[in-house]
Amino acid sequence: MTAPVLQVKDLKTQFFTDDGVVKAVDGVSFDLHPGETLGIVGESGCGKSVTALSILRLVQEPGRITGGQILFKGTDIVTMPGDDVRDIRGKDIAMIFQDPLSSLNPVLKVGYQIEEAMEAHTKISGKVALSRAVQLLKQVRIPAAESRVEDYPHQFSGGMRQRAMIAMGLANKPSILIADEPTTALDVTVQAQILELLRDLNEETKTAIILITHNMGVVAGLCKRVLVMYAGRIVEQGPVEQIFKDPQHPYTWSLLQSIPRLDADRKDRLLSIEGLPPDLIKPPRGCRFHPRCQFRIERCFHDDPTLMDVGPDQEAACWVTMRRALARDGEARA
Amino acid sequence: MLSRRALIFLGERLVLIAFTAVAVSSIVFFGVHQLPGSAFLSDRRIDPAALAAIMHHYHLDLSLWDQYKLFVAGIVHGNLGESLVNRGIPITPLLLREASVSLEVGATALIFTIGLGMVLGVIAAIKQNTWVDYLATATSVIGYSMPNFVIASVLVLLFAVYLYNWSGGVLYYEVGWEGTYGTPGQILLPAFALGFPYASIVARLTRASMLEVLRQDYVRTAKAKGLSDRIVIIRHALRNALIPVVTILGPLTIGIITGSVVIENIFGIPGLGKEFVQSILSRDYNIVIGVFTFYALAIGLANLLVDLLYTVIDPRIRY
Amino acid sequence: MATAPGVATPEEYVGDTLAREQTSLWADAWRRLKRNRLALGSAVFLVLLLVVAIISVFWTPYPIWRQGVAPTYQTPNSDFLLGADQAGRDILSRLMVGAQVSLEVGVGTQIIVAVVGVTIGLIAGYFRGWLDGIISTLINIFYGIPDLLVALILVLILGRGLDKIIFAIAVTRWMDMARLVRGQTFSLREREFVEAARASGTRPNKILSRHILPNALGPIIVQATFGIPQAILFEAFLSFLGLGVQPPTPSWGAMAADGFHAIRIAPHIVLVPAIALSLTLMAFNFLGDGLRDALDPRQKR
Ligand SMILES: Nc1ncnc2c1ncn2[C@@H]1O[C@H](COP(=O)(O)OP(=O)(O)O)[C@@H](O)[C@H]1O
Ligand code: SF4
Ligand SMILES: [Mg+2]
Repeated sequence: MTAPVLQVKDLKTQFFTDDGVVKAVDGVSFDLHPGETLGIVGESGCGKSVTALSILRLVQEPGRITGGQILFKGTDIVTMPGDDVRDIRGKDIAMIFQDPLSSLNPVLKVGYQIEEAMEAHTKISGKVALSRAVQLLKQVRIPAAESRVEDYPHQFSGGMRQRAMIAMGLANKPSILIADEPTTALDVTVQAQILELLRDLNEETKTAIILITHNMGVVAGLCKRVLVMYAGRIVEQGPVEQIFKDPQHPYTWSLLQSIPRLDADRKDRLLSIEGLPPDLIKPPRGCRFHPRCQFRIERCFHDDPTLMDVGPDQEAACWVTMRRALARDGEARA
Repeated sequence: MLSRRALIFLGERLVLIAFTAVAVSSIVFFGVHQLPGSAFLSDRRIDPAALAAIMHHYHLDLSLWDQYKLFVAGIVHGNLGESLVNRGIPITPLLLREASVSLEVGATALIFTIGLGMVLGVIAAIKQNTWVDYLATATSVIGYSMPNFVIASVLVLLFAVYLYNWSGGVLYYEVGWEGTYGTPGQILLPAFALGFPYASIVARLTRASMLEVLRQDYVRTAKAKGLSDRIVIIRHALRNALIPVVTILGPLTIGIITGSVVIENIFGIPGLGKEFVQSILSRDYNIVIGVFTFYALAIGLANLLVDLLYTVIDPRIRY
Repeated sequence: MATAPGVATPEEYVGDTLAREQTSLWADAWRRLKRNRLALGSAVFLVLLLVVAIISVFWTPYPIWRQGVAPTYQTPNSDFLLGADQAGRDILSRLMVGAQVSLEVGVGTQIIVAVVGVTIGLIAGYFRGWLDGIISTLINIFYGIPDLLVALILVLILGRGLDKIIFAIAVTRWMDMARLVRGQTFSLREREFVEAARASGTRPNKILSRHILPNALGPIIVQATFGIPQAILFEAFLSFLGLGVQPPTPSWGAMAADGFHAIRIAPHIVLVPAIALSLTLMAFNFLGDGLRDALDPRQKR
C-alpha cells in the first residue's frame, strides 16, 4: 500500500466563545491515501466542517487548532508558517463548499475567479489562464464554456455554480479535493449529476476526495471508505460496503435507518434520530451518544469508549456494538 | 457602449431631476412668500412712484398666482429672475458662478470624506477588536459628535492664529478668499471641516460592511484558493463592502450641502451657502428660491451618480 | 370556536411567554450595559448636565443677560470660572442656561418624533398596501431634501421661539424613526404570536399596542437616543447662523458664533460652548452605541 497523502492525528479544534469552550473537533485521527475517496458523515453540528477547515487552517476566530497534527506528505500543516500553508491551499489541497452561490464572489466573473486560483500559484499569462479556465469548465461539463467564462455567478444555475466551484478546485490539479456538503443545497437530480461528476473526475485525475455530508446515501454514491462523526469524534470507520451491510455503532445504525427514500424529495428531513446532538461545551460523561442510545448499558454512563476493531478493517467506539445489541434484543424477544 | 435601454433610463432620470427641481422651487416660491419682511424695507425713503415702478419691474404688483406663472415660465428657460437687493443682477449666472465655487470645496470635501472614511473603516475592520480598531472607532464617534463649526473654529485657531504667532507671521492661513476661487491651500481647511464629521460616518459604515463581507463564504473561498490576505481584502472584500457605502453618498451630498452653508460663512467662501444665508437675511427671495433650485439639481444628479455607481460595482444590478 | 375551561387561549399563552421573554431581555440588556464603561460614563455626564440645566432655572452665578459684570473678553479666573464674553457677560452662567436650551430641544424634538414616527411607522408596517406606499414615498421625499435648510426656512416663517424651533426640527427629522418602526412592525407582524392574536380576532390597535410596540421598544429607544444629539446639532447650526433661539436667551451655537470674530484675542469664548456641545453630543452617541449593543447583542462586534 502507498504512503498516505494526508494523516490527521488526534486533531483538536476549539472555539473560545463567551459561553465557554466549544470542543468542535475532539481528537480526530484518520489517513487518506492518494486517489482515495473518503466520506465523513454525521449530523449537522458534529464537527465535520471544522475538521475540513482545520486541514487548510481556515478556522475563523474565535476558533483555534489546539492540538494534534495534520501531516500533508509528511509535513505538519498545524505548525507550518502561514506562507507555506497558503502555498498548499488551492494547489495541493482544494476545497469546495456547501452553498455555491454564496461561495462565489458575486461581483467577479466566474472565469476570472477560476483564473485567479491558477495565478495564485503559477506565473501564467492572462491568455493562457483564460483558455485553461475554458478547458476546466468543459471538463466539469458546462456547455458553451467559451462564453460562460464571461458570466457572473448570478447568471449560472445552482448546479452550474457548483460545477464552476469544482473547476476552480481542480484548477491546479490538487492531490486532495475536500468537498463540504457539495450537494446539500441542490435539487435531487442535480445532486446525482454532481456526484457522478466527482466520481468521474476522481477516476480521470486520481485526485483524492474527502466528501463531507450528513446524508449516508450520498456517501454510498461516491466513497470507498467512510468515517462516522458524532460530537467532535469519529465513532466508527471502515469500508463503505462493510459499514452499510454491518454497522457496529448504534449511531451509524440509526443514520442508516434514516436514509431518505429516493422518492422522498424533502431532502433535509433525513436524520430522525430522537433527541439532539449534545452541547459541545459540556459533552455528556461516558459515551457521548448515551443520552440518545437505545442500546446503552450501565457502563455507557461513565466510561468513554474508544475506537476498537469490530470487523475486517472496521472500527467502532462502542461498548456494546450492534452485533451484540441485536443478539441481545433477539434473546429478549424470544 | 451605452445600450438603448441605458440611454432611455438616463433620459428618464434627467427629466425626473428637472421636474423635481421645478417642484422644489415652486414649494420654496410659495414658502418664501409667507416670510415676514421685504427686501425693500430699507428703501423707506424711496418715493411712491419709484417704488411702484420697482414693484412692477419685479411683477410684485401681480397676484401671487400670476407671479408664479411668470416664475415657472422663466425657470423652464433657466432664468431665475433678478436679485431683489442688487437690482438688475440676473440670478442664474450669479448662482452658476457661486455653485462652481461650492462644488470646488464640496467635491474636495467629498473625496476627502470617502478616502479617509474608507481607510479608517477598513483598518478598523481588519484589526477588529485590537487597539487600532478601538482608536479608529473612538475617533469616528468623536468626529461625528463635533459640529463642523467647532472643527472649523479649532482649525482657524490652529492655522490662522497659533501657526501665525508661532512662526512670527510667516506661516499662516488666510481666512476669507480674495478671488472667486481659493488657492488649493485655502480650500483644504474648509474641506476638512466640512468632510470630517461625514468621514467618521463613512468609517463606521465601512467597518460594519467590511466585517459583514469578511464573514462571507466567498471570502473563505478566496482564502482557500491560496490568495494572500492583501489580495483577498482588496479584490474580494473591498468591492463588495463598497456597495452599502455607496448608498450613503446621496445623504452625504445633502450633508455636505447643508454643512457648506455654515462653513462658507466661517471661511468667507463666496459660494452658494454664503449666498443663501445672506439672501435669507436680506429677504432676497428670488435668490433663496434660486439656491434651492440649484440644490435640488445637485441632489438629483448625485443620486443618479449613485445609481450609476451601483451598476459599475455590482453586476447584479441593471436598470 | 369554543375553548375548554381552564385552557389558555393562544393569546393568553403567547402573551405570558412573551412577557417573560421581555423581562429577561431587559435584564440581560442592563447587565450588558453595566459592563460598558464608556456608555455608563456618558450616562453619568448627561445626568450631571441635566442637574446643571435644572439648577440654572433657579440660579446662575451671574445674571445671564447683564452685560459688563466682568471686563469684556475676560479670560477664565476665580471669579469667572469660564471667563466672560465680548459684552462682559459671564460665560459659565450662559453655558448653564444653554444646556437647558440644548436638552429641551433634543428631548422635545425626540418626543414629537417618537409620537409621530412611531405612529406612522406602525400604520405603514401593519396595514401595508397603499397606506404604506404613500408613507414610504413621503419618507423618501423627506430624505431627499436638505433638512437643515428647510428647518431654517420654517423657523423664519414661524418665528424663533423654542417651541417653534423644536417643531421645525421635528418636521425635518421624523423619518429615521418612522422607517425603523415600519421595518420592525413589518417583521414582527409575521411572528406566530401576532398571527395567533390576529387569528383570534384581536383588534389592530390592541395588537399594535400589546404585541408589536413592546417588542419594538428596544430599537425605538436606541433610535431616540441617537436622535437627540442630531436635534441638538440642528439647533446649534441654526443658532450659529443667527437663526436659533431669540437672544438674549443664550444657546451654545449662538455663543460660539458670537465669539467667532474675536477668536484671535479671546478663543475661550468660542471654545467653551464648542467643547460643551461636542461633549454632550459625544455622550449621547456613546450612550446610544452602548444601548444598541446592550439591546441587540447580535449587532455586537
Ligand atoms: N465560529 C464558531 N463559533 C463557535 N462555535 C462554532 C463556530 N463554528 C462552528 N462551531 C461549533 O462547532 C461545532 C461543529 O460545527 P461544524 O463543524 O460546522 O458542524 P458540521 O458537522 O455540521 O459541519 C458546532 O457545535 C458548532 O456550534
Ligand atoms: S457505548 Fe453505549 S451508549 Fe455509547 S453507543 Fe455504545 S451502547 Fe450506545
Ligand atoms: Mg457543515
